Amino acid sequence: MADRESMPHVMFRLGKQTFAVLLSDVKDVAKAPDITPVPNAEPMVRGLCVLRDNLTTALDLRLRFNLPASSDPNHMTALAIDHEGERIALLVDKVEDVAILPPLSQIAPPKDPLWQGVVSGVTKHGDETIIVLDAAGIIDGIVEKYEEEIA
Amino acid sequence: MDDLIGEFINETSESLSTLERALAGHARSPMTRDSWDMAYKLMRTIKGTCGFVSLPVMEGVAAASESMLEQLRNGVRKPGPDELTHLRAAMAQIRYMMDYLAENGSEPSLSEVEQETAPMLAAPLPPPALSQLNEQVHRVPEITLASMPQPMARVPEAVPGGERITYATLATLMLARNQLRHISRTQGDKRVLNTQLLLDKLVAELREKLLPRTAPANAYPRPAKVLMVESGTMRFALAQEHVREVARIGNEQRHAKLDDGAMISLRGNWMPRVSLAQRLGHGRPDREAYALVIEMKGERVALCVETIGELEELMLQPLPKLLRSSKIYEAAAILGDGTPCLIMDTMALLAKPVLKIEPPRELPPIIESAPEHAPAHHQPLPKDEPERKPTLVVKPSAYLRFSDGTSMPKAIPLAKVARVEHLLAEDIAHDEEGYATSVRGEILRLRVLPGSSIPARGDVHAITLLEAPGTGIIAHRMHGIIESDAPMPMKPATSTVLMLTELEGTLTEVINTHAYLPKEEMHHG
Repeated sequence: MADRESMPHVMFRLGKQTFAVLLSDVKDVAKAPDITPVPNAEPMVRGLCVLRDNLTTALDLRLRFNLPASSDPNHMTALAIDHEGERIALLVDKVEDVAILPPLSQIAPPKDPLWQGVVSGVTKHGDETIIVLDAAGIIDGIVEKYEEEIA
Repeated sequence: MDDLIGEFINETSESLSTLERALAGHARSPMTRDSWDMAYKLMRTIKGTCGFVSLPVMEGVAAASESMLEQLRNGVRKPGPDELTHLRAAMAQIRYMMDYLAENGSEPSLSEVEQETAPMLAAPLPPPALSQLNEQVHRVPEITLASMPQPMARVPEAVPGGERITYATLATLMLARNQLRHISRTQGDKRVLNTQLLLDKLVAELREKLLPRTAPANAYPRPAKVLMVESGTMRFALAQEHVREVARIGNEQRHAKLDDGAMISLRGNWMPRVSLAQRLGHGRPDREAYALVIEMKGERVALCVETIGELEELMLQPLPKLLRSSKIYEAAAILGDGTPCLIMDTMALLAKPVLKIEPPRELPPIIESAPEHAPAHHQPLPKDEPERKPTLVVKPSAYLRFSDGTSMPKAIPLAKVARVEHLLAEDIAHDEEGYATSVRGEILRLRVLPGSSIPARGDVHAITLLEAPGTGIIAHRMHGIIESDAPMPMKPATSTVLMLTELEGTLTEVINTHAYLPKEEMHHG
């Protein structure tokens, strides 16, 4: 398997911050399709949509990272990933670029639960600081939280 | 013939009469868009009800007319002589089938219907909406896997062994079939009908071969028939197998509020009422026009929704894990219009409100039950149906209102009531101590209110009293439970009437039950 740091990443923006995830984790990039809201779901779960014939759960990354909600999630961009057999659309403001990033600086485990288990590291791309995310870790963290609540 | 079919025949007959009048008037004054819209909705209701009472032949005929009426109301088709003839013939067929149903308790085959109503058919009916076809509708030409044209015949070749057919194949075919059905419904495009017909049959055959009959209910993916319902602007699906009955909520239904729970009376049975809009926090409870009667652990619960949609067959997928915390959905699926749909977990949806209205143990239950000796036509509870458990919380301010056959409605404070027994007038005897009957092997002494009488035959009720469970007051018809805080007496009390008062806008006499106790209990009281 190739070294993770030599693999291309998809860079995207949430508010003023640029993030990245591994390109190999991303199955599709599309304008967010029509999302059917789901009553009683967590606010960050915007609802369900059908992306290339796949039933897909739309997760708003703005809300995951405590940023103000987009006024219209249908105008966001969907990064489709597969997680344990399910397709999930990570809704982001905008996809910026695909690039092989410089080596990541490992950061100390953040104390803020907001970042725990989701950050692979940080790096620079040009003048910009990029936070590289572990896509699966984002989903795992939410599911674990739900399962704790249910238990 | 059970009550459900009887009511279906009455309601459908009324709807058909309305349709027939509208079509008869069309020659004099062309029907407006609103008239066609009304006609379409009536036929759609007939078709939907046929589905619920399992009358596939009538459902198929109604579906064909619904499809044509939809095209007429949308202006896709003009109401020419052929169209009017088709519609009249379809109505004649439905009428024939209802008469047959009333006489025989089952519907005739389509070939028999066509034979009997042939003189009325000047032209063949348009192909029925395929959404409603199934193997029982003989109009569908027999398409077997062996007769499938190339290249589709290659698919069935693998079926006998079952090795090459997967759930993914079935899901793909089912989705394609549902998409064609959606196109057919919304655009009236007849070119898709033949393909849709082929897919319908192919899906049915593959489903039979692929699915083990003993598959667990929570295995995914799996095909399931669901009923679409709407709340606000959103659509959801409920497993059809959970829905026992669908009723339109009208003025004739009675409602009551008890503690946190609401109750509704449907066909004389009180049951908890749950608003889908309130459970979802979405939609308008005041717009809920339909009640779905759902049986849950022996209890019946009315789930109220705004609109009833089509019956669909969908390939269910497991509920995405990010939605599992909501606890009220059990699966998800893709509809024929390409949008996602959630399938409600009916039991989870209804569990909470039902638990809320479980009565405290010390409070007396109110159970309406048929006597053990009731004749067959009296419809006692089936043996395999669990005994209904009490579901009402009795409040001091609640009254049980009923009719004793006089013009003045009567009521008894609910706190005084032990049970409501369902009796047959024919089983009531008269001796020197007055009227009496036997219920579950015990003598029940019956009291008749002043001015009232016991009818010669038919159903009556006996309201038994907590202070004297062996004594019941005769009621001709139960109205339901009324809640009223401190009702204002309009006349002084008498020995038999506690007060004359207004309960929910109706003048009502509240009975002094003490006057009807046996002498020994009166002395104790």
